[in-house]
Amino acid sequence: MDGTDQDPSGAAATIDPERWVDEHGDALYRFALIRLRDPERAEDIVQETFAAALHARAHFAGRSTERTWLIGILKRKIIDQYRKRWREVPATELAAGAEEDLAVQSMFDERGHWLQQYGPNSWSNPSSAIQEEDFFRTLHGCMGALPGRLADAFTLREIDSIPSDEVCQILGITPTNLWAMLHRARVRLRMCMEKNWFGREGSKP
Amino acid sequence: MTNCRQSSELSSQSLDRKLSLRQWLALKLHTAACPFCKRFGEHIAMLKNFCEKFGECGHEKQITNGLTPEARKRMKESLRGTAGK
Repeated sequence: MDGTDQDPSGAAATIDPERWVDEHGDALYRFALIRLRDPERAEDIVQETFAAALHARAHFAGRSTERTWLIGILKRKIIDQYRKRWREVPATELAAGAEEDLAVQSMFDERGHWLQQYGPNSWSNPSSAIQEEDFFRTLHGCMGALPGRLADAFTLREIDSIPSDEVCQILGITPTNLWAMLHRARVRLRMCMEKNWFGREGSKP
Repeated sequence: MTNCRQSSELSSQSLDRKLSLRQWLALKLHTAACPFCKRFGEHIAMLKNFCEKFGECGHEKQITNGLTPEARKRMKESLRGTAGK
C-alpha cells in the first residue's frame, strides 16, 4: 500500500484493506447473507462495510479484534438497511399482511382447531439436529421461503435476539403488529422444517 | 375456552412478551389437553434456539463458502480506489 506509511500514528500502516478482504471477506459475507438472504445485496453491504471501515480506521482502538470491529460496522449497516426498507414499504406490500394472515387462518377449522393435516407432528431427533450437516442450510432455505416482511421481522428477533421493543422501533411498527408477524413467521417456518427436516424419518404419531 | 388458533398465538407471544396471568393460565390449560398445541409450543421454542445458534459464527459455512473470486477482486479494486483518496 502506498501513502499509508505517512500516517504519524503508524496505525494505518498496519491496516491493509486488501488483507481485510482476504481475511474477513468470507465471514462478513456469510453474516450478511443470513440476514439479507440475497447474494447481491450481501456483497454490496460487505463492500460498503470495508469502505466505511477504511474511513473510520483511526477509531479502531484495538480494544476488540479486527473481525469483531468489522462485524460491528456490518451489523449497524444491516439494521440501517432494514430501517430504510421498511420506511419505503409500497402499498402493495402492506396489503400482503392480510394474505399472510389468511394462510395461517386456513390451517384451522371454523372452531379454531388445527386441521388434521396441519397439526404439529412429533419431531425426530431435534436435539442432535444442529450437529448434522445441512441442517442450517435447510433452516436458511425455509427462512428464504417466508414472505420477505415476515423473514425480516423474524431475523431481527430470532437470529439477532433483538428485544421486541427495539425491533418495533427499527421496523416502525406497533408491538401488536410485530407479534402477529412473528407468529405467522413461526407457523410457516415450523411447517417447513417439519416437512423438510424433522419429519424425514417417518416420525408421524 | 381457548381454541388452538388462540393458544398457538399465545404460545408465540410468550416468546416475545410476558403474558398476563390469565393468558398464561389459558395457555397452560389448553396445552395440557391438546398434543398439537403442546408440540407447537415446543417446536417454536426449539426454532428460536436453532436460530440463535445460526446467528453465532461458524454454522453459516453450510449456506455458502463465501465470496466468489470475482466479488473479492471487485472489492479490492474498489478499496484501492478509496484508499488512495
